[in-house]
Amino acid sequence: MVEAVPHLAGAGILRLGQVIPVAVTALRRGLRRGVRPGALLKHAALLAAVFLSIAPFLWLLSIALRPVTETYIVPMPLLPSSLTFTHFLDMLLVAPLMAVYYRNSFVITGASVAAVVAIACLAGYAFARLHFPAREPLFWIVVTAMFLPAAIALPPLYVLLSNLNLLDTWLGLILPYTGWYLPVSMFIMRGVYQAIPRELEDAARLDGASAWQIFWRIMLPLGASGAIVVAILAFVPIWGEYLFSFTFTSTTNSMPMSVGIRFFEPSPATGKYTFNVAAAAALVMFLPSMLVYVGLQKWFTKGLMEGALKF
Amino acid sequence: MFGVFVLYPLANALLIAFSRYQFLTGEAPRFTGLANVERWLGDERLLETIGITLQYMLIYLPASTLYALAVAILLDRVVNRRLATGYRVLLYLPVVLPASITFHMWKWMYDPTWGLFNQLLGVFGVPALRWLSDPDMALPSIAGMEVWHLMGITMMLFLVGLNNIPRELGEAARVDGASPWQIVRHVTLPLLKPIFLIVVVLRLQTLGVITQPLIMTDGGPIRSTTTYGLQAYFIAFRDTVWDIGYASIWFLVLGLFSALLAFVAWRGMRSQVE
Repeated sequence: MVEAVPHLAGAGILRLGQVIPVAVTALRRGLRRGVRPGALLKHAALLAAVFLSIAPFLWLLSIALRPVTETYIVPMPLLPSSLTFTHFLDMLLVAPLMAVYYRNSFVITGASVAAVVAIACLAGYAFARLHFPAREPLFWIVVTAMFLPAAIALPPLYVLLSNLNLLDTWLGLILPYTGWYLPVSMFIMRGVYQAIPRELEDAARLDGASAWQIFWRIMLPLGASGAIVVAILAFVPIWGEYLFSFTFTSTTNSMPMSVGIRFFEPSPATGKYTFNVAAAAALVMFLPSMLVYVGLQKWFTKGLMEGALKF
Repeated sequence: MFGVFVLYPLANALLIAFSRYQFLTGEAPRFTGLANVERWLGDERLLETIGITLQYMLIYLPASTLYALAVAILLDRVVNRRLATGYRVLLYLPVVLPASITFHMWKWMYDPTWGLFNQLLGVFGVPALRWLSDPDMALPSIAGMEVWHLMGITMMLFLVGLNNIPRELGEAARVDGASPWQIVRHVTLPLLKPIFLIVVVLRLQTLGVITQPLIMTDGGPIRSTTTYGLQAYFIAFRDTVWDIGYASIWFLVLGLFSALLAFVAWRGMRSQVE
């Protein structure tokens, strides 16, 4: 799977030479049939913007898939003459630590996102429907916290984690991440639950359902799309987070790949890792984000337009 | 959890900010009132780093806004829905990438010998540039990366705004003989004004930029990319004594400022959507 995707795109680069003449012919035909030049210009500009957006990946792909012999040449050719997949294997063979960084990334991101979603669902429901003392003041504290940048908590968090002996542990990142992505998530889930008609609950209550049953059987399934949005909104920043993880981790005990990548800096001077391995490592790191993004595209746009914008 | 890892540190940040607390000396924190604030006001690095941060904003803000606006206007006129979705998905893609890896990738692209940019310049016979190691170029280089990375968000905001503009307005103007450029200039742009406001306020948050220069240049060369936030970070976790107490004042001011901006943007956004 990991290798299938780059393979397709890599072949795409190589075929670029054949694609261009085809495109030019199509263009000519379109012009003859009377496509307005304005529309043509519009699509040309948009295609250029799209190309700009994906060009860095294509470059990274061309590095990750080319043999080392075609890498350290000045000037480096833009396209390799042959393709190889060895760098993806080398990543694990040359750099066994790589797997450890990945494990840490998966554990930390997975646990944080799961905790955020679980707590946000419960708390969102409580804020939306249950009555408890100081509900409104508590909610305003959440809203205020939502706007604070996480960086300002770096010094006190460092002291706190050091006192709790949690520096350089998985928990030492999971707990702060969960805490910092909770406010927005609770806010979104509260909105989601408020939008569910009250009649549904009343009907269930008449049938003798308890508050817990109502939450479990009615609210949770109906709020599922909201929960997915919350999960995506937490996953994207946590997967690539640098400031907390750079500051709170120091060894392979807990260091995630977002920090570990800096040991793969492609410097030919040290000669330890080649540029190709670094590029392969970065691509593998991009992969989960892209899969989540493309797979959940429907919710992504919906969540951005409704959830994130409206909050 | 929220209480312990968000509220407690925040409360603690307030306390530490008004104390003498140098982490590496092992000395217990001691409340010193406004001493840190006085030191902050008199610090020569304050104006220097604020200057660098503003310079960064001045490059980044117009570039990113104009680019995103142009793309959004074009995208809004694509009638074919599948095509429009395809464009949008690809144009938004950079935003969802893991930030840290993206910054590293761009650092490699800027590499003077092996990087993509000098490779491209080489194709056209232009001599290589020192993208990140030239003090005059490092800041614009980082800003360029950020334009690429976050264009999708700004584009989406503009698309929402464009969506709210009734089609009939443009049609009417066209019937009256207005050119596409005139329609954009006199119909679209004035109606987008509220979105502009939101975009600018939201993007002002880049004032807190820390991670990008930390990864790409480490504040250099010759401090040319040491932004306000990065300076605060260095005071807390890099300088000899890890002066966490003093750094907290730097962070606190930054936090309050960005919170205020975020709140204003949020209010604007809600009024737009509703």
